[in-house]
Amino acid sequence: MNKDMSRLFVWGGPVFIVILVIAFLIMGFLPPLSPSMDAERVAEHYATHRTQIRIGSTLIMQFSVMMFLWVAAISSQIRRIESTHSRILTYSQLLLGLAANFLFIIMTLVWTVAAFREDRSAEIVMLLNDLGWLVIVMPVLALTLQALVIGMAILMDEREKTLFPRWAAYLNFWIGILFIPGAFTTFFKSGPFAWDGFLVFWVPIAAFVGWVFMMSWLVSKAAAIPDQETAAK
Amino acid sequence: MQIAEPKTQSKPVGRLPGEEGIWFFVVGDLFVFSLFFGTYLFYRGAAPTEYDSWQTELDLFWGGTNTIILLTSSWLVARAVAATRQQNMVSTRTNLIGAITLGVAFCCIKIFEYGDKFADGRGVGTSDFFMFFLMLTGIHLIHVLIGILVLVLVLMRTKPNTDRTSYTLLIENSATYWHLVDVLWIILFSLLYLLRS
Repeated sequence: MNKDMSRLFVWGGPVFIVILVIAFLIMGFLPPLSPSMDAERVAEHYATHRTQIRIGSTLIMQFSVMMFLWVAAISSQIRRIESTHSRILTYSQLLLGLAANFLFIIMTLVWTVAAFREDRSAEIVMLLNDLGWLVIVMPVLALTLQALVIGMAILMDEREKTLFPRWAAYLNFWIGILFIPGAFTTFFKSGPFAWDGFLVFWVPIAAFVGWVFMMSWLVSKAAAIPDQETAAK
Repeated sequence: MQIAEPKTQSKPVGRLPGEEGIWFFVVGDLFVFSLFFGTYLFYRGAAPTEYDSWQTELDLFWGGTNTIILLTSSWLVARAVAATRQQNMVSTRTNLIGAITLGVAFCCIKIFEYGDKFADGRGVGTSDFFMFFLMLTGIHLIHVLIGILVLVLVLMRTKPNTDRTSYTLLIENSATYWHLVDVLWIILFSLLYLLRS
């Protein structure tokens, strides 16, 4: 395993986060549009931010692929922990990370389509807007399970000097839980459980950002630990 | 799945049960639930009489019974851990089985309660109060289910010839988590069932 590449690739995550935040600000989506807005107001936002939304969507769509590098870097460390036993946690993390981060592409595709033509009816713009917000905020169990798998792998490490500190496992369990409220957001148009709500947007976003940076730092350190002959039993 | 134990020096006499990581998780989860509680109280403060009237639809009997069930269950888990320290694996098993059974009973009562509410046409959209009631107790219920899974895992590992140190760590971590689940319910019960303006 090429240590240098892991240490490099994992920082793709934080790079994407920075671009994500900037893009959302450009698009006027921070704070988010409310699900209780009517179609006319939504269409108005897209009309006044048409260029910004297309710029933001393009940025996020293309740079979201850096998250796949982040996911791969984590899996490459998990593989070292699992070593000859199995590859199940490695593969699980990889696939869950792919599933979760692919949604950024769908989200931005849908929003850019909404902004693509000026003569779209307000109903259609609202439909596409709904689609974009719900697709990124709802399928959260992929993230929860991904964090859970990472935590499990960390606890399994039987090295003298573990690749990751054990508290990192519990950090992952905790972060995984923070994503859960989003799973139910389809039932709400306002309040803390709506897609713009405290428990479904702000807390998970903060958790996600913190998680990406934290794991990048941890993976950098893990990748620097050399392989041992008698690593895991 | 092997749980590797943390490589620490010999622990001092008055040590914290489990490993530091589980306490980090416990504190973190308490923090998360404080966010939930705070949000609930904030919204409640804005419409106290409305919340009071919706609250009368909750059945204090079942809520109270569930509280007693979880408290007893926590007590049994604590007994199980104590039995482990005395190398009494039979007692550990018995107490764990009791705790798990009570945990399952809690879940059954909750499901029955939810069913009752849904039959009356109450859902998350009925009122803010019911939104909080269903979402908060629902997320707690998920924690209970995870806790039961964890306790079953511990039970499966409870054998006379189990490796002592890693087993002790496992049961202590699990007990800590289960106590957290209990504490959260007590607060939930107080806020949702008991607290009135």
